[in-house]
Amino acid sequence: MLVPILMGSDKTTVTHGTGQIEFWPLYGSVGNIHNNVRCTHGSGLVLIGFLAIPKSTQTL
Amino acid sequence: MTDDEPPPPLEPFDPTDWTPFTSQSQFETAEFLFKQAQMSAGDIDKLLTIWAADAAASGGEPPFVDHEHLYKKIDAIPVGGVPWQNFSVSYSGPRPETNSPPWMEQTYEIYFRDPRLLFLNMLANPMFADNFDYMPMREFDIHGSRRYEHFMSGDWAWRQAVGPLCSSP
Repeated sequence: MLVPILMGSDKTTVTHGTGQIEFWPLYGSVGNIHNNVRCTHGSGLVLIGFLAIPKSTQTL
Repeated sequence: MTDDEPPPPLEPFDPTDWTPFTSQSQFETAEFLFKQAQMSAGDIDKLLTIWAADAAASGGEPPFVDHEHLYKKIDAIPVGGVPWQNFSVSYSGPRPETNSPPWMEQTYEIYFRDPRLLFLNMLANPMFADNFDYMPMREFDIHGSRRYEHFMSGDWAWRQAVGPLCSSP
């Protein structure tokens, strides 16, 4: 059986109380399940992990 | 699991089993405080202290000793079955002699779950039984026009099945 792996990632800012925290979640799904069930149920798109967010400096 | 093996059968579901919670009310207390009320750890401790004093009058006990106890129970929930892991990474390449940027010095903590296990769980989930493609396909309407809908009806998936994979060892 062919199981295509789909992954996606985007920075998310979580505001909780006074602190502002940035997460970079990595999501995954398989290409076998149909589009209409991939996002409507939590288990069709799962959280794999949180990536590091290294900051670059503006000065050169 | 081999390629031809069917997914493992789901474990029988016992509606009276609240594991790792000792009872329905202990689960419901945790769900209410953590998920619905999103109560702070300090307030949970305060509530449980009052609860303990009240319960002690009739020889009973509160559902949790303190917030740590509650958090431990939640973390012990086996659903999903894929534990979180973590490791740290840091830059180890060449550095400029002065003013190296902060990201070269910093250590980053990565939290993740085994993707292979997550995807295996997804494949075994009966929720998707009626919305699942086992192989790539090409769909055409009566006029011969290609129809694209789900991932497995696309060109990329088709090429994986009939393309270079077949000739690779």
